[in-house]
Amino acid sequence: MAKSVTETIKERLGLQLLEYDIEEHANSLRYSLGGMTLTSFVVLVITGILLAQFFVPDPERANQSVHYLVDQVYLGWFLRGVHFWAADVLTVTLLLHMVRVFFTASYKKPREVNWLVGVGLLLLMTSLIFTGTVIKWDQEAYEALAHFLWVAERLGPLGVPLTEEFAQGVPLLTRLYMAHISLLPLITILLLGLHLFYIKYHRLSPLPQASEPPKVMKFTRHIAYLQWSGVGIVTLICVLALLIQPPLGDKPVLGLEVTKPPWQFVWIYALENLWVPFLIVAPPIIVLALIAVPFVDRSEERYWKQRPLAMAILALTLILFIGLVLWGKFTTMTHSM
Amino acid sequence: MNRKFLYLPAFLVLSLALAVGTEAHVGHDKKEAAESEAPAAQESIYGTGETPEASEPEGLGSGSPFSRTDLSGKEPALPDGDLPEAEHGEPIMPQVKIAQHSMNPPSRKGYGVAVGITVLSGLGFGLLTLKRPRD
Repeated sequence: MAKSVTETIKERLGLQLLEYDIEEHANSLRYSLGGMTLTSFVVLVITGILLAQFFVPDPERANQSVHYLVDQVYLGWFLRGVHFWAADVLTVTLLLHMVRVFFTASYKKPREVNWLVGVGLLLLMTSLIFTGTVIKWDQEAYEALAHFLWVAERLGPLGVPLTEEFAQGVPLLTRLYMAHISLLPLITILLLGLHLFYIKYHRLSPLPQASEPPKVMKFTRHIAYLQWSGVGIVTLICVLALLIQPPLGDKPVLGLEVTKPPWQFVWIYALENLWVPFLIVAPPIIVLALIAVPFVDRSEERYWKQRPLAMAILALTLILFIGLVLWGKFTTMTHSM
Repeated sequence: MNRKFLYLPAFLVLSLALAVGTEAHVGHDKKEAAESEAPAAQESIYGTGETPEASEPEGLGSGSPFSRTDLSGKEPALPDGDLPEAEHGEPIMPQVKIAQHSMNPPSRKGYGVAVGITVLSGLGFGLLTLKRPRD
């Protein structure tokens, strides 16, 4: 009886369409990092919807509403903690996913467009982390926004929509809140759909050193694997949220520049310390370099040992990024904008 | 199969390494937070009675320090030469305490439920590690 019920549900919902063949190596940690990133994003959306019930997007009350949530609302501290740590875990798995894709040359023909969609997702996640940092409106948030506006004002007409001039009288915090809960998640979900479509359309990239046709399994087995890894990610996020409280300051003291950004942005803080215009110069250079990857590296070789230049660039980039993060964390600010 | 038991602790170590020593800013420490909790409950930001007096905006808004045109005509938060002075004539700079990640005390509201949620999630992960449906 149970089997017939299951079969009936499968037929009604069209679940048998999920039983198509995919490559067996999908069920490995390195090929599931994207799925783990997606799990963290789902956690962020769910906790974000709950957090929005308590947040007041007005500069005068934003910070106070977060303090109220953390101190007064039952499980409010845990909710905020889960949201914060889900963002951190997402950043880690997203970066590892990018490294894996580059390492296995999965951006090569015919998957160039999916690489570009991935770059778009990276930019959206960065924007979401930035806006999420700003809306709590403490000292760290204020200085993050100050740096952002410094850049926006130097972009001339292109930067006007990002400043208060675009909608005078409307607090910029309120507009950033709208972007954080509406515009950016909407575009992210659309691009995620496209990303998953292209994985299905082009199939999972084959193992670089494979010489024979890949072994296959049903996609439902991969779903089971993703369920396992997803619950693992959720457990990790819950443990972190239970143990460690994310930082939260009081309302900012305007005009001061005394904080460092979150670790996701501290690398650019280090660059800014070297030369302030890096704030404007570095991000577009990085984005253009990422976009150029599948169009510069057009060889058919995918095995990492046969791609010494690509591996050298990858190693250099990782060393530079980690070095800048560490340096930014420990260095003292020597400039003021 | 045995390697899978290492994944969760490995992620935990990696994430904790990121959290250690991370700094932001806060304006109060734990003692002050404990004292401020009671007043916050009395001064609810969701007051249903009197309309609170409209306070002049300090952050972003019509009087934003980021505005090229200060619509409210307010003086900036730290105008040059107008800082309060100490006894010896030196300006007193506003203090901003550096906030850090801290451990959540068990006295947090709903801590037991949060522990339960975490344990349930961990049990689910353990169950799926031992026996994965359709695998």
